[in-house]
Amino acid sequence: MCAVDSIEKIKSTGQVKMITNAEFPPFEFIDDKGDIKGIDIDISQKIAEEIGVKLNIESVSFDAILLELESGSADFAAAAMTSSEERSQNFSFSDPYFTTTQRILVKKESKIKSSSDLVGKKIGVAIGTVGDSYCSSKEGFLEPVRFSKPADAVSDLINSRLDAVVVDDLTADQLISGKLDLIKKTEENLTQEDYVIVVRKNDENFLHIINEVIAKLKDNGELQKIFDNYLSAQTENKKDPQVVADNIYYKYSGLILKGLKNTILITVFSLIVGVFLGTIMALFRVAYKENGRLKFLSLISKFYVTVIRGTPVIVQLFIVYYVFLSRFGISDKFLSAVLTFGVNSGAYVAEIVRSGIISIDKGQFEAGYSLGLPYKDVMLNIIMPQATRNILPTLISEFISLLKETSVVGIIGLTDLTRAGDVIRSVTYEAFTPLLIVAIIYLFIVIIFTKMISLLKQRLFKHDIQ
Amino acid sequence: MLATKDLIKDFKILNKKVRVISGITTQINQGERIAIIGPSGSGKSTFLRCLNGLEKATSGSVFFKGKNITSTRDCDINEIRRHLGMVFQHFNLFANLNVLQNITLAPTKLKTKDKDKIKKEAISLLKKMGLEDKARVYPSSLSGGQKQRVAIARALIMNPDVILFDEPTSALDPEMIKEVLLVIKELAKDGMTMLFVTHEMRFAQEVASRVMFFDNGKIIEDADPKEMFNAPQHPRVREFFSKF
Repeated sequence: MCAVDSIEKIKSTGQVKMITNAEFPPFEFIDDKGDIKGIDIDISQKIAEEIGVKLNIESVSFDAILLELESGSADFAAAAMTSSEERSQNFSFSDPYFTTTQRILVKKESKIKSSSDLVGKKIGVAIGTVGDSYCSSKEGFLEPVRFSKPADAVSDLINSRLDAVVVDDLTADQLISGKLDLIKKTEENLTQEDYVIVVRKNDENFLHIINEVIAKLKDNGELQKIFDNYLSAQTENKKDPQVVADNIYYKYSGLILKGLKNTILITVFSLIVGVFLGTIMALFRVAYKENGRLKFLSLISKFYVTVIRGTPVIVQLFIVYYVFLSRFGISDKFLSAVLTFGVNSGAYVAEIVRSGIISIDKGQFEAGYSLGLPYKDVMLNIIMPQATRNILPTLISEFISLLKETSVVGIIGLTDLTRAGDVIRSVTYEAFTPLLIVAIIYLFIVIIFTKMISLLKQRLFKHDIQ
Repeated sequence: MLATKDLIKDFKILNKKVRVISGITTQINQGERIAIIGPSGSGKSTFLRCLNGLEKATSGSVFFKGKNITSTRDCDINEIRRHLGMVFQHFNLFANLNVLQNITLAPTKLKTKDKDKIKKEAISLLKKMGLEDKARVYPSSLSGGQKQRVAIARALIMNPDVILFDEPTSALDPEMIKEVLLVIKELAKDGMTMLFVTHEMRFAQEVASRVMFFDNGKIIEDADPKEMFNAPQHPRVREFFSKF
């Protein structure tokens, strides 16, 4: 890999872009105003100040952080990350700015005291964390059960589906606060891990600046101040957990609304794109079948439907966002989502429209032709109005499944309804309530929408349904 | 007015080539009323559908007023079809349009006349068919006989030179057959050139000026009705009539 030098680009654009996963308080989290805050953010701010540029922060899923960094859409990652052998292939690491350890969480009455007691026990971890790799590699340990959020693991622990949960020390403190009557943290420090800032491989000049900033912050005590600030704020919060929890839902209702708005907008715009694209694609194939024209476009349409329906939408989203749009220097997440789901839904709509047209009696075409009407007039005035009636009910189920499918957009860091629930889950360490709220909102939209459509249908087709 | 030369039509059924019309050369003159009879599967309907291009001839030609309408190069088939009305066995009324709209759609879209005139003409055609009270009704609530009369009105509004009837009464109850045949008889009286594929032998005898007998994709006897029904020449035709 050739040497890269981000500094020039950063200075010329006047901004430096940091990538993180804002679901790991107190290092990075979304506050009640929807802003990203935390220890890593404060440190990144100092780095930006040192260079004399503006700091841009973006939050994506943890798995996507290094992808973003590698693709060049971000300059550095600060996300409570640890250095590792695999990561060092493509990335360079700063000096550590924080050291932590993994701890064992068990039920209050458990006999497990240290790592030696974990042999043969069912252990829960958060996927991709140090706890995960620790448990996976340890002799005599069972394959750990991997959760996307530590809170989910703890809820299984409380329900006795697990014997222990291995998480880092800070997270452990958060998880047990408010549940002290149920679970506890054992004494042993399982590992020693250093949190580092990550840059692209061989970006030495930039890495040098970052290390200087870290050293300076350590020397003048500012780093300690940052930690104290966030950690004390957290203990403050935990005084009366119930009040805090109620407060949090109230405080985060803005985030839920923002997520809801995104979910609805993505679905509606995608459906518009999908219906437009799908109808055109369906018409290509029908035209070829009816009068042998547009053979090439019909083949393209068939290919499009086959490819899109044959691949998972989440992979399509990754390809659109990380490969396709980034090629053109576009990193707009909303646009990526609408494009992905629009093109995806277009393939399904194409088949819906095509089968809607095919189901029309051939005699309807022939009667039109026999009067001297050209293909276009026959389609527009006779076939399509009848096909629409066949298509509408299936199109509604497409809308409903589209609404739910958009819940994967969180993976590229877009805050939709599901993502908003996730953010609250990561702040409250609560597995159940945020999910329930999110599910109820989805259900509500679907019910309202179905009701609206059935009213519309009654008005639209009141004459000719017999 | 209409003519075919060495007309051949093959269908592909389960990847097997089946010859449905095997070389028909004939001529139809203005004012003729031609009944097409013969056993099922003998190619009667296919022949009719070749005449207005709903089926594309495999080889051979169809001529309308001397113009070869099977060559796509120098002929606009949509223009030709305006002059060749067709009435189908299953009516094929446009399900999304009411009776009046069914009749006015084609002339309105093709702008043959101005809108008011088209509407007036449509209403007078409906009166002639005894359906003036059904103008705003949708096809699904009409009887079979009413549907077929609307279909005839829909063909007539284009002022066709010829009307092709493809088994116009085969899908009707006996009592409705009469009302439709009556309408066709009226048209015959007015001098309309027509071809009709039919199984109604008495009607054919009464209305036709010429009868073609189809068997195995060929016209095996072509005669005036008196001759055809009283003294058929071909043994196959005699055998066919002996079953009635």
